[in-house]
Amino acid sequence: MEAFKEWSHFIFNNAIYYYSVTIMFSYGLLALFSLREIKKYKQKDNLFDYQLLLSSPYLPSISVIAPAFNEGKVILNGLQSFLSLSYPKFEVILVNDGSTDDTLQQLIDEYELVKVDFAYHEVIKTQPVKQIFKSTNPAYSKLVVIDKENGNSKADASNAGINAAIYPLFLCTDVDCILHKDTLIKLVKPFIEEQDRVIASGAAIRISNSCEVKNGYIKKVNAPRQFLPLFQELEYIRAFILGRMAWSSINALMLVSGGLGLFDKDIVIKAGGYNHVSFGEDMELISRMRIYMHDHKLKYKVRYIPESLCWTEVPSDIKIFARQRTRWSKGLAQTLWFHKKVTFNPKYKIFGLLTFPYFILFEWLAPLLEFGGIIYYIYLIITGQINWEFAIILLQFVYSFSVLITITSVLYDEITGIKYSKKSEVFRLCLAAVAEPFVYHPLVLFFSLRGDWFFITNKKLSWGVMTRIGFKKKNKKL
Amino acid sequence: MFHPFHWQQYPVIIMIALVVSFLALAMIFVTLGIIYFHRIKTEDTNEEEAASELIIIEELNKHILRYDSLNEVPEKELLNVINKLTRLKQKSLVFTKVLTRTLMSFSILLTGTIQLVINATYNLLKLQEDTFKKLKSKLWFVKIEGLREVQEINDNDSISQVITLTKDNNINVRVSAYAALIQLDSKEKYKFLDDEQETLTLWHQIILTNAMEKIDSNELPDFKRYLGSTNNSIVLLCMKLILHYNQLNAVSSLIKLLSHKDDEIRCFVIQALGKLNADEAEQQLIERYPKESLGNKTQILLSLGNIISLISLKFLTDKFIRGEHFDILKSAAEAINTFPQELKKLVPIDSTLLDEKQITLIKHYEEPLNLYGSI
Repeated sequence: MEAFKEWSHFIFNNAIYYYSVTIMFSYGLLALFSLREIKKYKQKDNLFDYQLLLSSPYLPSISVIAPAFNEGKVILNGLQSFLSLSYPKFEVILVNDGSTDDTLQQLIDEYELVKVDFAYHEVIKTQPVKQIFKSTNPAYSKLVVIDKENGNSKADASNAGINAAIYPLFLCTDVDCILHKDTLIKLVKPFIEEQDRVIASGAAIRISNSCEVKNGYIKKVNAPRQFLPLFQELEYIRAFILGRMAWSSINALMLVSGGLGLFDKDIVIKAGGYNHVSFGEDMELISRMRIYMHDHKLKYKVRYIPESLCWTEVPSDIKIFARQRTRWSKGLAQTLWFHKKVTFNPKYKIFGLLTFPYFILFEWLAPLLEFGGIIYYIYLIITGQINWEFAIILLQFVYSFSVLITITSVLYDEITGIKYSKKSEVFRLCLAAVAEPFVYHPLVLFFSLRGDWFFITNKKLSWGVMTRIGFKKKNKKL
Repeated sequence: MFHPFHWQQYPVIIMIALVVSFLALAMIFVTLGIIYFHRIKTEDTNEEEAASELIIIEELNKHILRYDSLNEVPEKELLNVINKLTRLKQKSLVFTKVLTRTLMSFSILLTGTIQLVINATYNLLKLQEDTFKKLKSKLWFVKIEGLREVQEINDNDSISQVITLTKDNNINVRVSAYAALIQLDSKEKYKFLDDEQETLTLWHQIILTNAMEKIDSNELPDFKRYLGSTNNSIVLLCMKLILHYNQLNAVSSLIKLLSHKDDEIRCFVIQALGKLNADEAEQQLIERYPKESLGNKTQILLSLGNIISLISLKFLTDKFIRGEHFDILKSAAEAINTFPQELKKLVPIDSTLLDEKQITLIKHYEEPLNLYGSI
């Protein structure tokens, strides 16, 4: 018993302290890298003539792929935003993944679709494709609608889209996403300005829950007003503007979100496409693409840009939120497990020596240690061994630093461009940053542990259905 | 419950935690302040920019742009407007920025004598001096800004400085200098095609092709001259320009490049020969076919689809019937579909030899709704 006491004292009084300090130090470094990258991006972007690019015949063409499963409420708005993108040459491939609602019928009616003979070639294995539609209206000649049997995952539907894509780059997105009209031109920029081959690029995704949307366009950006979406907005800003920009600056990025990512089709196919078994198929794909490039000794980059180009509806209901976060957590654990050979493997350079170990130690392990710490605190309180003065200082130490990091990411977001018209909305986010560690973080922690539990026990987890409110209904409310 | 506050007796880790948390707290307030003042400053700058733009456009429209040359503007009126704009320029950096930007956009949008009036106004306002300072800056992005201004205003006085910048260490500065030089009256316009050693990205190539599009095409050199460059990106750029300006005399040089060791270059040569409808390259393309990679093979088939001849059609039909890889079948079907019906009748495809995949491919390319995105 004494030995256990000593051991636990050592772990929680020293090791965990240094572990926390290392996490904080890494966040501090990420903040600095991100600032440097944002500054560099802004300097370059000011000199970039997008008009010139749009009129150039040399830009690579892009296939926009959007899987849809029972998305009747948002399908028309989303598709309208994809078809209105500003880019010289692109196609939009909508994959109806065996919807049981009126998703397909709405598309047929709205876009005057007819079934066509289409040479669909299954390079990546998917559930069978039943039929392919094209529009008889020349205004929608860019549109291809694939109707396939449900594959129980976004990955399977995306793979069907990749199989049908005719262009060398593809953008993977979701139908509930509202894309900025310059999305393609901004995301293709890293592909054409880098000397090394860029295999994927991504940009920031924002929350559309309280935004005003009209005909597939964001009319006015508002900071979310509901509890969960507000904190998710904050979390997204921190992840995209601070985290991913920093990882991108050292070419160590492990994740380009499934909601918005531009990919090199050739490399995606060679790497095997999306893994339909994975619950974190976006992270898993980037990992596999990177492994492929290293295995074949090819120079490459994965880039992120600090622009908000995509607005998506996030769960405002705790049950859906719980399912999403559990899935993400299980997805992270799966990816790390699938590709464990990468860890500390010098063959994979920064990806193996830094990114993978970081994700294992500070992304996957952190919730487990945090939970352990909470249990230990409770144990100390119950047994009367706690030094309240030190405990409060340590709590304040972690708390103030986490608030600082979040508020810094809000500042970076402001530097990259003003999104909200009112100052009060920005300060509402800052206020949320103060409350986040107490009211939102425990939820995230709990669902992360749940995801790990599902992974360890190999418990079945369904993708579930994201209940959409849709924009029409919301517009009426506004 | 609490011990008395004797921080000197705290363990080091607790002392560090205490100091960091106070520092973090202070930085939170500083960050909030920065967010607030950044907002205020951005809003003020936007307002000032909008107001400046209004003044500038009004002054230019009222006093300068309605004349065909600066000589026609009454001396007093010209003096007044120049003095007014100079005064405002001296007062505010934002005004100077907007003034430069507005004159540059006018210079791009307008042509003929009006463009000359704009350029002369630019000089009278001594904005040329600012541009010159930018060219001499140590910061790469400021140099590029200056080069853009030189390029748009056609400032020939800065040629020597632009030539100096063609030797800059930063590739982005060099490319901007090349682009500026193309539009100025310089003898060294195309020297970079011989000299540049670093890889020009697609973005650089777009900048350069755009600069060339703005000048008289008679001034352009024969780009075939540079196809022997050891810099592959220069070869690619020149091939794009050969295609853009339809320089048919480059076909024989392009055919020679079919044996280039770089796969990407060969792929582009094959594509270029097809787009130039170079029927003299037909035999070489067919001979080259077995030696090429899958990607280049598909490109050969597509190019033969552009060079519409009976030999090409026979070759394509053969590949379509015997081909195994889907990409080969697809490219062959796509290419065959470009041939006129009369010619296709001469090489009929026996449908009993085809499998389901091949039949679907034929139907795919016969379907008019599938035409978007094909060659």
